Amino acid sequence: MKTESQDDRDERVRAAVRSHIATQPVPPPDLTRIVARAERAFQPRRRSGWVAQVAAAAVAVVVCGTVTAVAVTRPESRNGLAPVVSPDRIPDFARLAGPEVVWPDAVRRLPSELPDGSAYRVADTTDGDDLLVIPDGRAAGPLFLNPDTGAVRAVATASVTDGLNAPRVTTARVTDDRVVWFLQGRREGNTVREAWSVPLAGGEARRLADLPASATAGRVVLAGDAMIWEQYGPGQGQDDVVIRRLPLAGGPITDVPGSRGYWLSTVPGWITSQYPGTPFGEPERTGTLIEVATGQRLKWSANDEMESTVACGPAWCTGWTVGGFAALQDLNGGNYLDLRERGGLNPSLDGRLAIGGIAERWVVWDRGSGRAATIERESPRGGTVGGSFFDRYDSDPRSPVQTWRSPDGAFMMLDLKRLW
Amino acid sequence: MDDFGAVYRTHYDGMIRLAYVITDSMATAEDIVQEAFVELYRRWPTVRDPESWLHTVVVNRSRSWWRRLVVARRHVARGSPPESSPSTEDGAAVRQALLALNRRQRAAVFFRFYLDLPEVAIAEALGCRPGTVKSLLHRALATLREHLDED
Repeated sequence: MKTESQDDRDERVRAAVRSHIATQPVPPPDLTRIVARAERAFQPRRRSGWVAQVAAAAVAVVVCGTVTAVAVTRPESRNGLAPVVSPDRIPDFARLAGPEVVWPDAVRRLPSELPDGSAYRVADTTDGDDLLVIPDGRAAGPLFLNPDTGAVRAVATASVTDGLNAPRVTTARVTDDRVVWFLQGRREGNTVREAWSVPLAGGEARRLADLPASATAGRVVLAGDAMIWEQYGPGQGQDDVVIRRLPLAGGPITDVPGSRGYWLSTVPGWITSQYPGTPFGEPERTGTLIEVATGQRLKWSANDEMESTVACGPAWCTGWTVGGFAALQDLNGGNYLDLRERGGLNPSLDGRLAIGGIAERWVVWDRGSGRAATIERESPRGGTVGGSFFDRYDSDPRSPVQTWRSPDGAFMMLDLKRLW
Repeated sequence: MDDFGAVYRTHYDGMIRLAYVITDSMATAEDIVQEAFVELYRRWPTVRDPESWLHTVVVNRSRSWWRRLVVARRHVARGSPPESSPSTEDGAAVRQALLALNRRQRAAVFFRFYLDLPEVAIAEALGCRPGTVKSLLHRALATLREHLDED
């Protein structure tokens, strides 16, 4: 009788393992979701499908939110906003009104498209009625849009457009006295990335700098008198990143001193040692926030009840309980509060606002006043250029606005700078 | 980003299976692989070898997931709601045999038996020397043989 050799037995084992692995049913790929997640606000993901569920949530607006008293102490105010946080005022997330009810002066209806028929996104607001918008597609600069009349005014001048082909604006911001934007395009057959600036009062645009690829590939925020962004290294380690800085007054692009291993936080102007995605190793339990403009450093530590990485702004942190509920805490880990709802919130706008998906609703919560609203979006529908463009950008907690398409199809905007 | 799409389509299936072999949870594997591709998208301009990068990241994250599970179970013991854990409803012999391996061995088995990668590439993905890979595979095969020959 022939006995099985060692090699045959090993090959039989290998074949069995191969077959077992190969026959496991694999969920279908979804490239669109990957790209959308990478381009949206970056936040740790807790479980399969969560982000998609929140983005797709179309929840009926009920009545104005009630407020529940929670016995916790009031922290000191920061950044000239007093008080930044009223932690004793927690909204009832199941009974929130829309922002047009809670903050009627901050909500605007926007034109569906620009006069030339192209889609656009709102990059920033101004002190007046005009909005700074970025057209979808080829553009050498952002535009001022009056949402009431639909009139637009170009920002880019001939100094920008001369010799420029296939331009695309990646970032635009309004500062105290000027408009700054980053663009990518081609000049004399070569790819160029440039930073431009023009006075708000008008005038000729001035080129601030030639930019590295990192400046047009990811998020860019305003930090005092500079624009800052993340530049990744070639490795996969979560600390292989540094914050780069471009002075608005001109000058070379440099690393923000001491910023290696830091990421942009969800509060513009603040950088954080917290890796914003799922941690490579153990979740970070302590870390540091730095305000780039002032150098102010704040330490944070996670409450023991926070199961995963927490995300901190200058006033408070958010995270998850082991049961998957959203929870809040102060920077020192105190005043822990289990919201008993699925989802997650991001500190936003000086750390006063909390924005995110809670209980399958998209929520904007002013922790200073305790007022909160839920944004009811039109159910996602494919195929519309304007809709898909908006859907990609409407929920970044770093943005000064929230934009969405309402159930009746109108483009709407909430100006976060006008909530109080 | 067309290149990214091509890499995603090419490696999505394999990465899911890799994470599944290590975590024994298809839902967790889907989570881990999605995070890995989101991270790859962000780092796309700087990653020279996406396939090797994905191997390393998926292995590391799958192993991290196990570590976090230990933390979660500690909380469960204190009375918190249970966190998801690897399912055990499937009692297939091969699966049980794979679960008898440690997570590093499972990753090595996947790379060698399923992807047929050379030991040098496996060593790079696991962050160890090729000699260690040889040892991992030798012990893994012995354990698998022991379990499967029982049936």
